[in-house]
Amino acid sequence: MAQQPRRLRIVTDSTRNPGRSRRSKSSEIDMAALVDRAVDGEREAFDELVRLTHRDAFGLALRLTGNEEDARDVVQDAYLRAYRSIGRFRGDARFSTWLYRIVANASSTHLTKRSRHRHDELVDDTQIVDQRPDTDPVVAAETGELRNELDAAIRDLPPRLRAVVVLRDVYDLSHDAIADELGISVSAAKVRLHRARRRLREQVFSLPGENLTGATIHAR
Amino acid sequence: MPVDPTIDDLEQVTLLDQCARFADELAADDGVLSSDAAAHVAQCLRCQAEIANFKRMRRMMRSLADHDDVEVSGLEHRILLALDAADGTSSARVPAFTAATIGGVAAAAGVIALAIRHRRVVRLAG
Repeated sequence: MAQQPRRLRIVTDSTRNPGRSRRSKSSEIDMAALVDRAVDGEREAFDELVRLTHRDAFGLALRLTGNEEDARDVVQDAYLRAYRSIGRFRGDARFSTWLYRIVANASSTHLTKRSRHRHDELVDDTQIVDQRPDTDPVVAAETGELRNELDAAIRDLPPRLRAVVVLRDVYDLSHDAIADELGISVSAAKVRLHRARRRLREQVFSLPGENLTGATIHAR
Repeated sequence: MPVDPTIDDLEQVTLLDQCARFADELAADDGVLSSDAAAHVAQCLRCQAEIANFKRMRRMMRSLADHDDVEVSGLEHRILLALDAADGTSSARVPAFTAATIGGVAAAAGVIALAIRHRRVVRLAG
């Protein structure tokens, strides 16, 4: 499969993506009602859930795979898995969290298959563009720049470290859930998480007088 | 953690060794440090800065997905088609353009067939 250019852009206006943590209480209730109907086997309700959540699911898949075409495959696979198992969804977690776990698992499977078939180095040289400066241009520029740096540093991490830190720190999955979906132990997940955070911290938030280590230089 | 080569004070090098020893604890997200680590952090400005940076970084990471502007054109349709296929109802979601094209071709074929038939009837009558 040919590499497609990555199209993940970071914007400074949070209203661009209202789908995640800033979801209102009423839309949460709507979502819960939709999930109930989907669990009861109503296909239209599931379609509506797809409409509401596919952008977030794609964002996660793109972060985990680093490749747009792979991310599309992963998201399609994840929704198929979700559709087949929605009857077993018990509602003790949010639907989005449940879906993120499925996307994580589908990405892991996809990356494992891909690494068996592909031996060339994956290169991602697409620039991330900050398109919307906030009302305070200086603060927005600094924050946006830092956020872009952080996003680029996450992309530069090896996939096994990247998956854990993205699922934990960006999508707020528990250590147990991450370990389950990636097929590793909780302690291994924690070790990878700490390693990933230290690399990111060294790269993006370096301390005064801190020199780049060999690993950091390599990661860049 | 890299050791700053400009530091030659033995006491400070020992302190940096301790920084390295507690590095994993500082990167953990439960915010609870062991008593050894807490005692070290209380006297180490470097580790205090490290903790502050980790907190800042994690705050920023939590906001990353809210600022995504991903290009998803055609993805929803693709997912729904895959679900249709899984359901065995793939004919149910024929795109409007395809349906219009098929309808138009069928109508044109009907008109042509009628015209040919009419010409035959006229010829036979003549």
